[in-house]
Amino acid sequence: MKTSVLVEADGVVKNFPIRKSFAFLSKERPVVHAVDGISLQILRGETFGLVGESGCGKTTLGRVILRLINPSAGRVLYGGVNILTLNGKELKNFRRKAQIVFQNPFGSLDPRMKVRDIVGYPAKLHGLANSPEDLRRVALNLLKRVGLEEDHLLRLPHEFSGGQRQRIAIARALSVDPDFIVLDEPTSSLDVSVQAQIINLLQDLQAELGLTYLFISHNLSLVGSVSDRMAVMYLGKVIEMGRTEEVFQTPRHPYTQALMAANPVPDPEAKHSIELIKGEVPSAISPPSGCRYRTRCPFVMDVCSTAEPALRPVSPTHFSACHLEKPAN
Amino acid sequence: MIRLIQEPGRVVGGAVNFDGRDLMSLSERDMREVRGREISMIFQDPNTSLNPAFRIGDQLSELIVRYNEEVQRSKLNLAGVSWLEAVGISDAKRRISSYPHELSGGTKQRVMIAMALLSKPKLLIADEPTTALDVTVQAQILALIKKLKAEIGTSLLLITHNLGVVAETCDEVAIMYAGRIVEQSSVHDIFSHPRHPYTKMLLEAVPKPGRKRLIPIPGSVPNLLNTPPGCAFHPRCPYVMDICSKQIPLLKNTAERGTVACHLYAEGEKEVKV
Repeated sequence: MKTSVLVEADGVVKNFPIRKSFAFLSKERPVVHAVDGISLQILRGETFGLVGESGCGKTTLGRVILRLINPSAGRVLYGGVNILTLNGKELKNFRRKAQIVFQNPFGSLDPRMKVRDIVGYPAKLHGLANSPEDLRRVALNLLKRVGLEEDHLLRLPHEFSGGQRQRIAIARALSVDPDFIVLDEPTSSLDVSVQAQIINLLQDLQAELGLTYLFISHNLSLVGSVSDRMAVMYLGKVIEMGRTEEVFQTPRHPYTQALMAANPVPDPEAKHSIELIKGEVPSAISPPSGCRYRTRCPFVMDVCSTAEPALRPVSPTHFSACHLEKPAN
Repeated sequence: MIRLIQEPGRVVGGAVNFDGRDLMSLSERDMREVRGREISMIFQDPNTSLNPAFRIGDQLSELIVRYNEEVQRSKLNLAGVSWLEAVGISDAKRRISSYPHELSGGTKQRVMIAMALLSKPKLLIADEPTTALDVTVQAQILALIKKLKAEIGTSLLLITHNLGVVAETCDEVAIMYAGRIVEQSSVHDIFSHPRHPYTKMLLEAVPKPGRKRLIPIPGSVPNLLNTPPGCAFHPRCPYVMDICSKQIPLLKNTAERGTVACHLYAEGEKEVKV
């Protein structure tokens, strides 16, 4: 059964110039190459996992996909339409359909707004709640859906726990009946048991409402658990991508392998790989030439410093950007 | 345990027996001799543990002077450099002159480990030492702690919420809930035969690749101002019985190994109910 592509990133690049002036250097201002040419497709109804360590660009990519930041180059297509060309009513409609839940439940809710307004305001903005009674009704329905109660309506964010605040953030995202939600580390600041509740809620809502998720996380086990397909990012690039099951069963890229080896599993009998990754992530201002991972890769070859490997198929549903892979014909 | 609780918190009872002495009965002056020398601690956030106004070399030297008295003043820098190398910091001769903000999180934690271990303490308390770090850096730091611990012969009290880290690093595990230890045993035993319902449910709630559905623990952690009567876990426990809301279960020995605080288990007997 062929599922349609809902969201597509096509050669997305995002650079952030650095403000400091380097008077003694060349005229070029240094930039942080946060996202450096990423193409991927998210299918309708799926959960696409985006995993990587800090500084890899995954949050930036999530925001570019929603046009919360404009890319430096490349396109983002939503339902086949380039969102960068949208204006006015069409743009507003896109913003309704594509929502976000942020990582920090302590910073993403206005501390001076009552929960009723936090959750109901987007609906009001989009003309879905035109009277105070409407707004209250919409907010109450949403709160109940995410497992909160009527007497939470008039409370302020600081009165809630981290897990409850994330529920409020999810309710807010749902308030405008979206199709696509970017979940940016939605449970990273939550305890394991609270995380399980939130993840279950998100999965239930997805099944009930037919939602599509982009699930961004540095937690490999979590991404392995919730996503159907996934991409691994390193220093602004996607280095491996494919069906989650395949990527986990046969990780091909040395960085993916290192990530999996480093990932602690709750099983004392599990074999621990002694081959640790060496060194630290290089600077995103001047990333290594060729393959960015070469400075830490145990399998590095000469070609790795001269040519950047493209994503090559391991199978029709699994790709790895590594010179160790046979190039596509 | 090392008397770092600040006002209005107070220790109101119990003893901490360390190497034959009760730490709670020591004077503050004597305690200060123990803290940092015999018992060291590293904290979660390396950004708040290092003094931002001083170079790491100076922060190290301060401790070397205090705890490695055999090192001559003129050789302080050398000693500092060799400690940085011992914790795997490359280019140590140059980096010893860095300020903390010039270093990455992983490097700062390595400096903290050096500072904690240079007194060759008997006990190292590590409070979420890798929670703020990326998973690959975490693996490096945990491996480093294990290695140095073995070299120095230090005991490690590792505080963490990450069950994966526990499984990979620890020999003995105590599970806490609402201020009490609810279960304790060897790491192999805890993971293969969890006894306390909280432990069992915690293990079910951990994400594992391939496990599509996480099984959450219903409800939430109790407010410590108002803990439920009897067993603090009883409102969330699927095996709750009448006695659970009336009597706090004490830690009892299990038949095989370890201890558990749960009315499902009688002293020395195997589990009553599945």
